Amino acid sequence: MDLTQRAYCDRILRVNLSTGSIETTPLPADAMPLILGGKGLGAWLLFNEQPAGVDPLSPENHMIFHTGPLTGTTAPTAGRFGLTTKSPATGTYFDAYCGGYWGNVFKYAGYDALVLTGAAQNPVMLVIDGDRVEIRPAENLWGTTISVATEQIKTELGQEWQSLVIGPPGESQRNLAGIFNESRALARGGVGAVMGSKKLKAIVVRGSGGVHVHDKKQYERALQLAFRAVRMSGPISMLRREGTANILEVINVMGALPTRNFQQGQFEKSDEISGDAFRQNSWKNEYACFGCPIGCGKWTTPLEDGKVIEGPEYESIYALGSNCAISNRETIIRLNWLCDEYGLDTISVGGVIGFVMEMFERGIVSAKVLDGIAPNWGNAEAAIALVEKMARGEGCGKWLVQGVAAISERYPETKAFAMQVKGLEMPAYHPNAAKGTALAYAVSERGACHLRGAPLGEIFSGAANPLTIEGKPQLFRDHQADKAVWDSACLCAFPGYGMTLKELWQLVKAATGFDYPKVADLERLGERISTLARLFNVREGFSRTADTLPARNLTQPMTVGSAGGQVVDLEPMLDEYYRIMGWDANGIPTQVRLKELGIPDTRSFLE
Amino acid sequence: MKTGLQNRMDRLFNRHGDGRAICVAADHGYMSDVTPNVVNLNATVEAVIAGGVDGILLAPGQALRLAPLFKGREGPALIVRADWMNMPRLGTSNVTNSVPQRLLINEKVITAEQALSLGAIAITIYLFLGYSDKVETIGVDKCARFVNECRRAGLPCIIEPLAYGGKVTGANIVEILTLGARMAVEIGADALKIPYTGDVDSFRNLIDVSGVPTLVLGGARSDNERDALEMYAEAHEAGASGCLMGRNVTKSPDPKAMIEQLCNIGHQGWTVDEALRGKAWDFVRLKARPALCTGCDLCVGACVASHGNGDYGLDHARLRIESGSQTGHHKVMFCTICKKCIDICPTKALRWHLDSGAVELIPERCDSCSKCVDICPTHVIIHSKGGLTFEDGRMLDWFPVVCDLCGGVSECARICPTGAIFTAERSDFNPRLE
Amino acid sequence: MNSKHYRMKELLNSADGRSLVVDTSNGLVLGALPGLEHFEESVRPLLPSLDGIVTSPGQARRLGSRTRQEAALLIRADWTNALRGPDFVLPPETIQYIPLLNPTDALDLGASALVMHFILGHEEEIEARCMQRVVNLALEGLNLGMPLLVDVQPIGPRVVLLNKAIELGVSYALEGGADGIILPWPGTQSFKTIQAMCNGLPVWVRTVSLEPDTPELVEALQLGAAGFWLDERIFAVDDPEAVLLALKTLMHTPGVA
Repeated sequence: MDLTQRAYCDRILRVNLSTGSIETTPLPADAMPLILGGKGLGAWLLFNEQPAGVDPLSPENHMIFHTGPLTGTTAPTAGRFGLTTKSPATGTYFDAYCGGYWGNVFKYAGYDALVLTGAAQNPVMLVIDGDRVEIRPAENLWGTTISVATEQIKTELGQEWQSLVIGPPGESQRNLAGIFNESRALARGGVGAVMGSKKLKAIVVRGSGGVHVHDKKQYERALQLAFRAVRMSGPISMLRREGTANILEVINVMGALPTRNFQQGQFEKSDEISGDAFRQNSWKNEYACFGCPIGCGKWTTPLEDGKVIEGPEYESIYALGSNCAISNRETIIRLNWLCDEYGLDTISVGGVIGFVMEMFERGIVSAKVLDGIAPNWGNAEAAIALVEKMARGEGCGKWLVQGVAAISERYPETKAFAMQVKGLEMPAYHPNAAKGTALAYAVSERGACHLRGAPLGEIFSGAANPLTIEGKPQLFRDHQADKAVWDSACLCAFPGYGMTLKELWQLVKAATGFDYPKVADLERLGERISTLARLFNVREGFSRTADTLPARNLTQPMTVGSAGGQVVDLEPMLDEYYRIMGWDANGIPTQVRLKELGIPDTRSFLE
Repeated sequence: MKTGLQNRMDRLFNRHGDGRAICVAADHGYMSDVTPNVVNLNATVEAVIAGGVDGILLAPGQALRLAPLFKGREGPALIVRADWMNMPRLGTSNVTNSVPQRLLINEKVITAEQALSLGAIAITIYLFLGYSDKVETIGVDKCARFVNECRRAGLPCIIEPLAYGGKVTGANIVEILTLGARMAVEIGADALKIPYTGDVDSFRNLIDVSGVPTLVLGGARSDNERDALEMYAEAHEAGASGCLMGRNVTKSPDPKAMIEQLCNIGHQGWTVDEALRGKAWDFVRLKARPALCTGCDLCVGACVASHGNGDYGLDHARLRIESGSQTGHHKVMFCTICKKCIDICPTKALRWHLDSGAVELIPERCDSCSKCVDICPTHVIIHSKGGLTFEDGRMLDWFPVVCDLCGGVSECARICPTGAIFTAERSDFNPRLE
Repeated sequence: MNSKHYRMKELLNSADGRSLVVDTSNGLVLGALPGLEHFEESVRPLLPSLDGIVTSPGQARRLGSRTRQEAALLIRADWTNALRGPDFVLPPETIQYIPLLNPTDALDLGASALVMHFILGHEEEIEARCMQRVVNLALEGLNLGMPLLVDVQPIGPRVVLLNKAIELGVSYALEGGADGIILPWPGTQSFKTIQAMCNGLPVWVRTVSLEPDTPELVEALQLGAAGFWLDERIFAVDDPEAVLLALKTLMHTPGVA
């Protein structure tokens, strides 16, 4: 089977930064129809090549950057790429995805994936110029912020180069550090810290190759249907108009907009931070990632000192806004700018600030501990000061930037309201108001995540009653499988607000020519890949006890709002979900199910 | 079949003697939020009537108010929405979200007799599948009641099965819609209104197993009006008896033209291109609205995919986006058919293509002098990747690659999601006279 | 004797009072069934071989213009998702049961009888609904002369003893006012009990087997069954007419009595 005729490059670039060795290997050809690419490829390689118990910040940890078969074609959002590694924040399998313009160019350079191991002695950058790959010293870039490093690379190498860079928190291996392609990021889980631990400042790439699909005529037809489905979608037209923030008001009415560190699900000043408010007052222009027919990104009008950002996204508005009781748009933009400039994850940073504010209000931390900063609810100056400290790694910023879970370790009495799962700060949907999403936060392979199959439709498209648990395990299972396919084909989630798995199946089938007679074959593929990620975590020692939520979700109902009185009845959902997935009561996949999914025998490590 | 039912079915489906009906759904104000198409209902209804629409679906109150518009033998058929639901307000789509809803509700509102007294030629009611067993059962119950009432009243009952809710996935949506269509017929629907299944074969099967006249609905509005026409044309090919299209018509800047185009496809058998243009343009040119360009590079990708060796990529495209990172800052660089290259070519190797009107290279005359490449004001004439060898043994190391307008259907303009690059008629041009 | 009896006679063979019936109404719940994709095309050729045909209210209209040699029309009067299995595209999570039409509607549609399910073994509420429905349809049908046949469906998870459940269902149907019973083969002893309970009212045996030499079928006839009741699976066989002919021959063979 010639994979280069099936939309792949059939080359994995393998770089060991310790030894300086650079080589390419072919894709695992037999496995490709089972894993497709992207997330599937990342999970496969990480599971098979990285032994259990590796310290995420050690040279042994693998960083696997991956594209999918559709990457680089004209499919909607085909510039997307992903990264799979073991996270220092969660200690779990961790995959992150990013738009921008790096993924397609990496594929044009002739690779499906990049497997990075080892660690350099001194700061370096990896330069991929098609077939010519070299590790160059990058002392001059070390210590620079995202935009400075990116500009300097473009100036030195040329405008056509695309870069992935980390900022100072990444260099210092902080849990909240991300990896940035200009305004887009692989943000969560401390992936920037992993890169920093390898002394790798940047991965820059240029390429002029192409992607050959299996059946071009069929692929063009599938493209026509996919684009039509995107264009004929109400939710997508709202995304184009008001960005991801278009949903904020609805989420707020549903009582699901986390406010004041999840104490409430409704923010009294939501109208000041809604998509419409940003559109009317703060946004100037659109931004689209490569190959994106939607263009949900928004550029802001400059702040007083000329700072602009692409954003803020809904998640950032929640994290840096309602979660900290901040309603001033300029403040949210400035906080977001700090995160983007220094290379931090906005969701987790906002999670930390909201958490610290609650600790301060409760008298658990004092201004003295926080270098004189007094972060009461809604205090914009304090929030900015704290983020600056986190960004620069100064004073209290050093430990704050390790995330909510680490802070909570220092102050064990905060555990009930440390809003994280497995070490990852919670995203912008209050679990108490959305039970399927709550289950997803508890179970997701990378900690509290809304992008690993959380059935968000229960809140914003009324797909089911968000407050009940009935049917939610099945709903989540379906979404999880579906999302794993999107991540493996390596497309953004948003075309999926118009396209269904059916349109994606038509694209994938035409591009790869793999034998997927039914759409359901892809669902099975998605479940297989999610299970593979689960297996990695099982091997690392995770099981049912880790699939949980903070007490604030399980036993402490909100007192007001449309989700008032609600708590998450998690255990019955876990039982049902494990049963549907064919896992045992401890959340470990059974051999029978693994066999059904076509996952090779993994008994040895499970025993 | 009862006379009343037969007469009314004819009134709806046989206005043109072809068994097809091009209809508009204008009942959105009844269920969604106050959107412009709701506010401007009168004007929209008048416009689609002027466009020759065969039937209009209205809520009971508007049916009462707009009754004068349905007068006379030439007037369109009045279809009345007889039940109510809140689905559009459950989502974040196309609504102002004034009072978001958490649970799906679908209820019978009027009786068939009441619809008849409003002058209805037919009623339309929903049948929801995939939300919950309860909602589906309520739907079946409601449909059965309407069918019984309609039978007595001699009023056609159009059931609209929808696949909506948590149980619907990409893998089962077609099966659920097909199930819903057949269930509706078993309950006693006289006709169906149903979403397109996404491809001709599955829609043909759906129509085949339902065995009653089927009207395809439009769904959310596309910015590209071609989408709705293409979808209707496919449904038509699959055997649909017409359409009952809502927002794609009522939210269109020109509802009258949209109806005329749909009628030309449905009743006259025109292709989408014919319907869109009214008459074919002889020659096209590319135009741009750079302010709308998001810099997504889809046009460049489409150009590469449709030329060269057919691979997808960005290299060696015949147009280019000069990236400015923000929308409004990008420059769209393409062949402006300025003729400078043709004029400067010392060997007359470049000329207008007689069919497409694009610049055409006659390779035999080219001597790779690069004058055309240098003079091109938008720098979109590029060096070919490889060279050429002629029969007489002469060789070219490279030759200029020029935009061929894809023979008249420019792929860059077709794929552009925002209309930043588009084709326009190139009037007063005859390559033979230039 | 009122018009109910005349209508009842329309579906019983005048010579021996037996009949062969095919139920096509499951499409209401399950959509297009294999072999029934084109309803009229598949069903009409079988009408001369049958004494009765059960349809959904919607498909009834397609079987107009029947001759007296062709099957009588019976209409399905209710809807339940209990007939859907776990592999169905919309597997049921909660069991639902609702009426679709009343005897007046059935008269409008030209039916000779109404057919309804009596579901046993699901939630209590479902059973209560079925009971209400039997009584209502029986009493309304009395005035209008519309017979009611009750399809005993012991399909819920709570059914412990199948034959006893069938007996219970028959009893409830009779107490409620059914004019005829359809049941799965409950075994010899139970069938005798049921025959005694029914006291001359017709009892059809729903058969899974389409083979005329199935011992149960022969036995059922010997014990006084009114005939056989087939479902849509008949349309999935190669030559439905031949199968029907064989069953009919068995049914109307005087020796088997």
